[in-house]
Amino acid sequence: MKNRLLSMLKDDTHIELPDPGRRRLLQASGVGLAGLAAGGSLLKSEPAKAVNTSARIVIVGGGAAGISVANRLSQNLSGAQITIIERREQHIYQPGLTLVATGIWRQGKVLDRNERYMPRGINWIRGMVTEFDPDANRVVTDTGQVVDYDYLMVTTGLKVDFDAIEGMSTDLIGREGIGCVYDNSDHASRTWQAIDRFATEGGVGLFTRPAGGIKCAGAPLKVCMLTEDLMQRRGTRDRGQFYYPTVGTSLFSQPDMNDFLKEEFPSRGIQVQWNHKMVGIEPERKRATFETPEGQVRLDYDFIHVVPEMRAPDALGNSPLAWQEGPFADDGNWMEVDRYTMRHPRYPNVFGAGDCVGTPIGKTAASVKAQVPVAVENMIQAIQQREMTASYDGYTSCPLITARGRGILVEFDYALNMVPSFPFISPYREHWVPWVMKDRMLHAAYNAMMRGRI
Amino acid sequence: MAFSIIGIFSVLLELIRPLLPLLIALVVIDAILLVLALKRGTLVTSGAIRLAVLFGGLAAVITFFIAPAFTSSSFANLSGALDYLSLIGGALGVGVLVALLTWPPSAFLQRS
Repeated sequence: MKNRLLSMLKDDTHIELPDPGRRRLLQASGVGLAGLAAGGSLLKSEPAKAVNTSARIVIVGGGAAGISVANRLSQNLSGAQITIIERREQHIYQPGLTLVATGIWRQGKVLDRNERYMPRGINWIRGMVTEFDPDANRVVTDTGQVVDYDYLMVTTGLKVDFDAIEGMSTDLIGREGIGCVYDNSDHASRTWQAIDRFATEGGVGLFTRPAGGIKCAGAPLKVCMLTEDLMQRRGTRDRGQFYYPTVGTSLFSQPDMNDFLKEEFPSRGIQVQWNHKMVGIEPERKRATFETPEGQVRLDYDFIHVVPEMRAPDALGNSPLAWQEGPFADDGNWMEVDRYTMRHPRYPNVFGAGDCVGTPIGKTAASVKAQVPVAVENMIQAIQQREMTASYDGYTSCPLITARGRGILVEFDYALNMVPSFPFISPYREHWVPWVMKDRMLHAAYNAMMRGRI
Repeated sequence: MAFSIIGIFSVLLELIRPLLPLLIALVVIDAILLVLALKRGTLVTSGAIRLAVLFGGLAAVITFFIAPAFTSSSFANLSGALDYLSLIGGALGVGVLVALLTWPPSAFLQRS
C-alpha cells in the first residue's frame, strides 16, 4: 500500500519522500533548530517567493490551527488548490473562556467569525469530515461530499467527552451548581452564573481534573484559583470550602510549576484530593462519584467544575490516521504524528497540528502557534521534494492566572524545561505583567497567528 | 518563542484594529494641522512645545495611576521591578504619544 502511495504521489506531484531512517536523522538534526523554526524568529528565513505547485491540499478543521495553516499555505504557495473543511461560521477565542467563566470578560469578547480570517482564493467547504481514507487520499464529509487530496493537513481539534461521565450532559451547565469552561462560550457564560452564585452563597466547591491530555490544562487550575480569589474580594471566602479532586499525584506537568502549586493551593485553603477520577454525577442530589485506589467515593457539592476527558473526534480517532497502539491510542485515540516534524509516520503526505495530534504535551493556542509553522514548512518542503528541516520542540505556554490581576507566564518544551520568550519575565514568580498580557495582548497575538503573520 | 519585528508590528496592528478608523482620522487631522502650523511658522515655538509636553506629562501621570485598574487589576498586584518598570514605561509611552498628537493642534493654536 505504502509503495502504491509513494508511486502515486511521485507520479502526480513529483515528490521524493525521504526514507524513514534518513527522515529520523533529519528530525534529530532539526531539534537544535527548533527555536528558529518554531516561532517566526527574526533570523528565520521565509521563502523569498511563493512556491509554484498544482498540489491539491485539504485542511480538515477551521479552528485556530486550520485557519493559520490556510493563511500560511496561501502566502507561501502559488497555484495550489487549497480546500478547508469547516462547518462552523463562528470562531471562539478559547483562551479567553476562563475569563468569561469567572466573570472577568463578557461573552461577546471571545466571539468572532471565521470568515474574517479565511484567506482569499481558497475553497471553503461548510461541512464536517466523517471519514478519513488515507489509503485512497480522500476524505468524506457529513453531506456525502468526497474530497480528494494530494496532501492533507489535519487540524480537527478535539472532542470533549461529556458522555464519559455518567449522568453528565451539557444542558446541566449553569444549573444545579454545575460548571464547565470547555467547548464553547455559552458553557463558559453559564459557568459564570453558577460560580457567581457559589461565590455569594458559599458551600462546598469541587474543581475536577480528568486523566489524559486536555486542552489548556491550566484552565481547571485557573477556574479554581480565580473563584477562590473572587470570594476573597467579595468577603465571602469563609463561606466556601475548596477541593481539587485530580487524577494522579501532580498538579502541573512542568515540575517547577507543580512545586509552586503544591504550596500555593494549601496556602489558599484549597485541598487537593489525589487519585480522584470523576466518573459520575447526580445533579438532583448535587453529588459526584469518583474512582479512587480505595474504591468509589461520593462527594457532595454546592458547585462543581466538571472537566470531562478529551479525545480525538470520532472520525479521526477511528481512522487509520490515529495512533494504533501506545499511550496516545489509549489516552484519546489522538492522531499519530512525528512529534518533531508534525508529519504522519505511516502516511507521508499527511500532516497534523493543534489539539488533535498525539504529542507529549501542549494542547494550547501557544502550541498551535509553534506547531503550525513547522507543519506548513515541512509540507511545503515535501511538495518541493526537499528534506524536511523544520522541527517542533514541544513549545507550549500557559499564562497561569493565580488571581484577578496577576499571574505567571509559564513556557516550556518537551524536556519540561522553562523556555521564556521574554527573559526579563520570571517564569517562577507572580507578576502583573503576565496578567496584562493575558487580558490585553494575547488575543491580538492569537489573531495575528491566525492571519499567518506570527 | 521568538518574535520577529514584523511579528511584533502584526500583533500591534491586531491590538489597535478596532480603533483603526479613529486613529487614522486623528492622524489625518494632525497631519493637516501640522502642515497649517508649518505654513504659519508656529510649529516650533516654545508655546506649542510647552503645551504638548504639558498634555503628554498629564497623560503619563494619569496613565501611571489608572493603568492597573484599567487592566482589571490594582497596585496591590504589582510585584517587583518588572511590574513597576513596565508601568512606568507604558505611562511614558502613552505620554510621548499624546505629546506628539497634541503638538500639531497646539502649534496651530499659537499666534503667528
